[in-house]
Amino acid sequence: MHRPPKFILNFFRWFCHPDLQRSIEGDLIELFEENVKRKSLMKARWVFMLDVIKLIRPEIINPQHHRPTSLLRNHFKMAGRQLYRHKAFSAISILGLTIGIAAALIILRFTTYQLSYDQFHENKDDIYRVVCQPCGDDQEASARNYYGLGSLIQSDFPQVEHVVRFWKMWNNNDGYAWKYNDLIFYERELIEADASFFQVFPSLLLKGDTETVLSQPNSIVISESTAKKYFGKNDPIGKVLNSSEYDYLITGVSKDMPDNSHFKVNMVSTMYEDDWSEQEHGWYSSTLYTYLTLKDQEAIPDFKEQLTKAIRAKSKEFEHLEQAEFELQPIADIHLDSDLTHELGANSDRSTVYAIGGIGLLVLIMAWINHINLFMSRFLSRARELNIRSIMGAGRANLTSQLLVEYICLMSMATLLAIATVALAEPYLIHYQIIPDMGMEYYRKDIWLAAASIILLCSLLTGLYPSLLLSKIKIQNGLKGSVSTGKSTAELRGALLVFQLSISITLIAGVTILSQQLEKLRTADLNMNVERVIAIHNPTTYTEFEGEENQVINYQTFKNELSRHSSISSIASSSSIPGSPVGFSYVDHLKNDRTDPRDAKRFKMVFIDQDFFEVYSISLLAGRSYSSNIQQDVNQKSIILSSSAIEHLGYSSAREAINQSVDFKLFDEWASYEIIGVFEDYRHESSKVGMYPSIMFFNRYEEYIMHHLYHSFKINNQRDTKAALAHLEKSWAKVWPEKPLEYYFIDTVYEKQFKEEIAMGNTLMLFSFIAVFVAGLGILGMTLFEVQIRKKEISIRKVLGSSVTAIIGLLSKRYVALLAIASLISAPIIYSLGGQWLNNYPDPIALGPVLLALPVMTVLLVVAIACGGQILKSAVDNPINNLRDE
Amino acid sequence: MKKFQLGEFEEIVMLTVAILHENAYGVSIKKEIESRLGRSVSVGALQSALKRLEEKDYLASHDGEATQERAGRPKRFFKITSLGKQAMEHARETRNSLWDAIPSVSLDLKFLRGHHA
Repeated sequence: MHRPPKFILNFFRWFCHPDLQRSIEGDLIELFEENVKRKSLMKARWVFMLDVIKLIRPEIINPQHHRPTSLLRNHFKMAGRQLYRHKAFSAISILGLTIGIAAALIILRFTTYQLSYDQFHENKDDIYRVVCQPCGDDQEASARNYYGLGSLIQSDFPQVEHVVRFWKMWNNNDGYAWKYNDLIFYERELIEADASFFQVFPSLLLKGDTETVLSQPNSIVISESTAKKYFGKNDPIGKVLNSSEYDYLITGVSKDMPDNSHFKVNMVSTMYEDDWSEQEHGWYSSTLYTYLTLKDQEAIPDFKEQLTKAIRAKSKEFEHLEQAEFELQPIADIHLDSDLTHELGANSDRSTVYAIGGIGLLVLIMAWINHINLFMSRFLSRARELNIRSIMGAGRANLTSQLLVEYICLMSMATLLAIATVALAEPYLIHYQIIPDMGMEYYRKDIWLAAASIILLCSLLTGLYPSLLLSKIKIQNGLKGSVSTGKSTAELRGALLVFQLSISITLIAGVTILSQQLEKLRTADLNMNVERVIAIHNPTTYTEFEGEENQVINYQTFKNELSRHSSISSIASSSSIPGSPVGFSYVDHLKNDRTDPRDAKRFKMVFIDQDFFEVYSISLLAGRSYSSNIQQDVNQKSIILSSSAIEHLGYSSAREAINQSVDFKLFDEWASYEIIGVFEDYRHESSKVGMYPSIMFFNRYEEYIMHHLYHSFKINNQRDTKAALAHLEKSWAKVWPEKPLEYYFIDTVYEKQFKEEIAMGNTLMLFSFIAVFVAGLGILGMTLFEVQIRKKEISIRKVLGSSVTAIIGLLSKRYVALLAIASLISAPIIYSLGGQWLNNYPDPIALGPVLLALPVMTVLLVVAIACGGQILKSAVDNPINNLRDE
Repeated sequence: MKKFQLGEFEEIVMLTVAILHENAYGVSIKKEIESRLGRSVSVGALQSALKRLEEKDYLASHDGEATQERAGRPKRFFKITSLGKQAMEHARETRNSLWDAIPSVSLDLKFLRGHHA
């Protein structure tokens, strides 16, 4: 259900009379819900906000809010007049502050979300994940662990309360089909776990007993939303779900995990102990995620010491354990600090989160600087006013509070506007992935409070500074109007402006670097064509509701049916599709000869059928593709390798490798294969991952259906897309009428790999825009002032014969100089930070001079627009206008 | 004359509360006015009128029971007090006497049309 914007609701609660608040709030919510249904969410939010604003009336406001002392009331009146009289200055100030605060709010939501990961576990401080390096097949540190480790901890470690191992049963796009009566859905995010799963994560269980819910074999706990999907409002407990050939009894219901969890689970079933016999798998392959809860955090060193000892003892039996190091990760740190192989989800990075938080703060600081700048530009006129006040008997405290009230008025107007802006912009911000789509209840209150108090404090300082400065001026000088704004303040303003300009330049450069790198990632050496290629999840793979023979026949029928469309020529079947990880299939020991002791590189393997290369337009450098008519291929005695694999095996050219033989171990058996083809390296995964040598292994559909997770086909003609999809649905319905159809466009799947970069790009884009805008406002304010105080000087210069160009030069000289200094400051920042960030990518772009030139030119343009008008106006103005008063 | 003060909008609100009888609360009053008079009413205008009328003792209110809808917020139901009834009658009488005092010639259609042009 949709809820009205929280900010606005809270604001309403704050100002409303307590007697009226609950009933009016009810009315507002009722209207809002009705509007969501009748119009749209966007519209409803808008109406809600207007309604709340229109409620600000004397009868409805909490009486406590309107009883200021008479002096304060006078301050407010004066502030109102000041703001009203200097409309341009006030508008610039408010606009700047609004944007700054809005930016800070957006960033705050982003950062608190990132910092809120896994905070929802009630026992979050006690949960740890055990990771190791090297681990099983992985040389690098792995998030998964040995089966034996769980057993060992369970039996020998008194410090540990509970330990759970679980096995992730889904691979990116694949799902398992689950059935209840006639309902079949593909389910992802399912795990098989030890019975102790909900003892380690008790907050996740809604219905059922943490101890016993998974104690029987074939029990399953499903999430709330999954339960709703299958059973609607009925109680799922005791019902039976069917998957593959097994029946599972539902024994519990778990919470839908929020997005800010480093792993997500929809279904938890009991792990088969038999599958993981201690002898065979216990300490060899590492495929299980292992979490534990400690009784006492003090026990960590003790636990680690005991573990090291125990592993050393084990390594007498299992040699490869000698090097293994085990580590405990607190669950709340995993999302930000852990970047291991086999992570359960895409983790973030603490320094990036802090950097973005820093940008938000910088933009806010820029807005404050603007305010100070603008305020000081009015120094002269304010000085006279305040001095008269002090002659009339106002003390310094009084003057300061007067100015502070004025600032608070500005600030609160800006804050309200900012809150409204963010509330209205929210759907767009969510759409561009700048902020997450999540209820506020998942954010961390402590961080919001801390941020709010920091902002409040800085706000006060910003407000106080000019006030203190002003109230210190000597009365006589102030009255004579001869207060010089002073060299120091002019310098300070210059410095502040340089600061703003450097930030703008740096941010724009950031956007440029990011978008260039992204472009490179997207296009670099793709060496295949994924346009208009569609993949379908193989409906038979995990639904063995029918005999295997039937499946093969059905697939043939489907293929025939589908290829009848004029725009679909061939249909391929494979174990993985571009854009998703190759998955479980990899080979460690590919050698020219199995006796060769060298074994350095790992090869990834994709199982394909004869049409795969054609559908994806992957080109063969030498040799031929597989064919289902050649006996050698059907018997799986031939192999096709990537060009980098060939290189790795020591052949100098693709042609040379053809007809040579290689050995490797597949499913624990050594065999020899003849190289029949070499394909050009293509980016199965984006270039973020780097290129790895790979094997395409032939697997006839009839032989081993388990390896044919995807069917893919290409729509040859763009115009036929719609018709082809309709044809797909029809063909599907003919063959598998009872099964849900799931298909995806490969280019979309492929694009998903850049999700982080795109989201980051959008964020940076927004903030550089904001920063530049705020800086522009600052410059505008400053020119307004400068032109005003130099009016007479300019006129005299003109009278004495100075040309318009000379005057424009005179006035703009300063800004050009400031911009030059700013560029000098930002250049090293851009190149060092940019270089550092690019190090994350195996194939970074070069940092050329354009990356500095482009942002500087952009900022120059903004500066010109901001101050150009004013300067031009004063340069062409008739001198008589400014001199006749004298 | 100062005895019963009832503004135009206030009078409409009073009448609507009377029409709705037992079921007069914020949203229902708002909708009733909107549908009968064909004009939109903001929550703010309505609530401040209700508050004023209550302060004048023309209306009395009580909170309904909290229900599942409206996120558990209670409805505040309004009822006309006997003073309120007197005020309404007074308004009606005043208006009627004014109507009665209009000379028939001033409502002549020709005159109105001429005035328009």
